[in-house]
Amino acid sequence: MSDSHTEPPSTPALRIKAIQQLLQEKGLLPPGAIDKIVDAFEHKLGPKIGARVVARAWTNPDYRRQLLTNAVEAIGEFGSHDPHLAVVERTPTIVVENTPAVHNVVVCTLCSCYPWNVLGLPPNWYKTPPYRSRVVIDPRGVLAEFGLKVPDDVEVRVWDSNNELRYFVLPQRPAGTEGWSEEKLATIVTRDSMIGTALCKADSR
Amino acid sequence: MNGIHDLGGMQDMGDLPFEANEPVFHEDWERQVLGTNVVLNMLGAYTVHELRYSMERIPPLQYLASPYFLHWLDGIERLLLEKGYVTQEELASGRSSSASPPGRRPAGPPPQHPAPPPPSNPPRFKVGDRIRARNLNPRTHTRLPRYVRGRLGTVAACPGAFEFADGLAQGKGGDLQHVYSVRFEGSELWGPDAGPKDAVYIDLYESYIEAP
Repeated sequence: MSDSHTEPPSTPALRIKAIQQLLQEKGLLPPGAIDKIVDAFEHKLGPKIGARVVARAWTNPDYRRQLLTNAVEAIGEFGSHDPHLAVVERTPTIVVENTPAVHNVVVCTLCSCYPWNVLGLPPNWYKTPPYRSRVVIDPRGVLAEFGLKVPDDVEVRVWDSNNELRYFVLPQRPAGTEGWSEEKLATIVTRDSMIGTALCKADSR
Repeated sequence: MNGIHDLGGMQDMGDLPFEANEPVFHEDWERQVLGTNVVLNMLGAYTVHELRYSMERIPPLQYLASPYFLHWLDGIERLLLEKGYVTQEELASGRSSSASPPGRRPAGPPPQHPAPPPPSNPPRFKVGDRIRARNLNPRTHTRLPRYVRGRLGTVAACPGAFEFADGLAQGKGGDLQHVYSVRFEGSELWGPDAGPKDAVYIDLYESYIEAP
């Protein structure tokens, strides 16, 4: 919000440093707190959590049922239990399941709401106007740009996570993975498949 | 607020910015912005709703042209100024001035607000009910996007009661309201230009919807 017309523009790096210094001088920001948060977000969250959740759901019908009815508890099994992520990991979450008849895809048209608890921070495209604007009005066109052609007889459900609930997609288990272990299955569950902009493939590692 | 952030249904925003092997952060300042925001949130300096409203007030041309974490930085600066945590002079100089108003709260755990009471009314709608999204155009923050206003939908689920974001965004209390997951058919939203068998699901507060 640099409304100064006479001063030289400040870089983002300088601006956030100034904020941090000021708040620390004023005793509003505990020293070291930011490093711990950033470390937890960067290294303990991410789509690997979601991939483990999906692989478990593919191999364990009881877990799948629990995931579809009480996702927070089911996901919690794979959570970091890092106290810095406690709020993130308690996020109310709904899992929507892809079937041969229904394909689901997630967006936040108003900002960038995203299931941090299972996928970590969102990719840039998820947060930008091209995706947020168009996926609700032309989901099939947008998915085609990801290389995903949804047949006309398959229903497309777009989930606009505009409120307190976060959504993520339980993709279909691909053919050719019969007999695979949970660990091996987790390796083919991509971030995009859990947003709904891709399918899982046996060779997508 | 009918701002540029309410993007749903626009068609001229360009190509999707794909990036192979995208890192979580491209530059260190993005990391610092994320960390600062999360810590300030956890300490109760402001709510995520207030930050969203702050970012929605970024001028439209700037909003479209600036990268994502710059939205956060702009939003954080505006909130810290509005709430009196810092002054414009302090932000410019990077040094706290003795003449500045003292920060509102010391570092520490967030104040314990009592949980708001549950909604005083039972849910007005149930799964399967036809509803209409109300045509509301508040000047302030809302989670009712333009593309569903006035449109007919069907209640798909009743996920519970949540604090009213529109109030929280203005630093007011957020009364607990019943929230409904509402399904809108593509043809209801977009007419004959909708794709075959497309639908949008969106979570709407009870005050956003009415019987058709």
